[in-house]
Amino acid sequence: MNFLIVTTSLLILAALQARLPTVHWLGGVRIEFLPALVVYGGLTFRRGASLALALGAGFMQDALSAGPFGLTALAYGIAAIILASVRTVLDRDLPWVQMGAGALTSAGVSFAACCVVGLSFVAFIKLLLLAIISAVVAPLLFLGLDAVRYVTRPS
Amino acid sequence: MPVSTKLRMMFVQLSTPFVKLGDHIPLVHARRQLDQEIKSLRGENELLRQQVLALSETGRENLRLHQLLGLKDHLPFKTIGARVIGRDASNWWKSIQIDRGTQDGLHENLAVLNADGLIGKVVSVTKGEARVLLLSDPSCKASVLLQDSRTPGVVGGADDALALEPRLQITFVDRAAKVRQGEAVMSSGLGGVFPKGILIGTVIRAHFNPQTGMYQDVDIRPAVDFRRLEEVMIILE
Repeated sequence: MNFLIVTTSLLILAALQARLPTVHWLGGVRIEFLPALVVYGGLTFRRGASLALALGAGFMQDALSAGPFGLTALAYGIAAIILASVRTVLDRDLPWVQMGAGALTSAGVSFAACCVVGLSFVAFIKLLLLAIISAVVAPLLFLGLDAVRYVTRPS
Repeated sequence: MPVSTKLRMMFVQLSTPFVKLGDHIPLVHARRQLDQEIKSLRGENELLRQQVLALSETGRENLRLHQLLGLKDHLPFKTIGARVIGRDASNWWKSIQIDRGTQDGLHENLAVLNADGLIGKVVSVTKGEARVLLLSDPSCKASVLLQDSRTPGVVGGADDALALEPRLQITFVDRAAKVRQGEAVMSSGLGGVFPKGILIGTVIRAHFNPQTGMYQDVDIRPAVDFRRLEEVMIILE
């Protein structure tokens, strides 16, 4: 059931990320959902499953983008391995942990992209903005996915 | 075919049905509203308003398609129309996804335009869809000519990571060239991807490149609104 929920979430969130317009009052950036999903996998599942989810999310984002194929998958994969390694010492239910992990994962992916497009002061501001957005999205996604998993748990 | 291309095609084909699902959501809303109207006379007014909105949307779409058709008649190339079905999932690149692929004769490095001007070029293709790198992306370059002064240059997206409105910039413009504000910028046909004579935008201002001092950089207001692309045309030959 977990596999089905996570796979469906991945496809829907990737499609949403590619379909939603940019947000004018957020500096014209697009809201990213996939870093939060990678954090959810990293703090919830074992290393293998979280890595598979991260690679799936990364390849999906790369397939729906003009960036180099595999770049995001690599960044998400590293983030998932790190998160799965520190999972035992972190309380996944704390919103601050979710927000921090969301921000760091997003920053990592943005940094990888900046290695290709070039890092400037404005790009750094954009990186920070995207990290803040992911920090807000992560607890909401945890709330939603935990609720779905609770409702669909085997009785 | 490289493994990465095969893998990309697999993920694109996996996600495309979900991306296309977005098209059907307004229809679901309309049907729900229609059911409510049948049950209640009071809702009749709402239904009529809905129809007027739908007609207005169809009218706008008709106008856009007419413009594209008019353009198609005037272009000396073989072209094909396409709908925009998605945008770039990443915040670091600027591209769109269209509903035409190899089965429609598309391949990489084809020019994409609409009635307003040049949009970009095809960078990856699968069987039923393709990705178009927009001219507003700094990595998409086109060889251009300033229409009045006939000064050549290379246009690309301005490197504004947080720009609310996409802006283009021509680099390597001759220092001595007299660039006039409002002057039209056209594709020059050099480079082999973009045909000659397609409108790209108009000059906002020119300034000397601070790094070299040898060339001018010219800021361009794009003719195309890259944020509101719905139908495009691809030049096949």
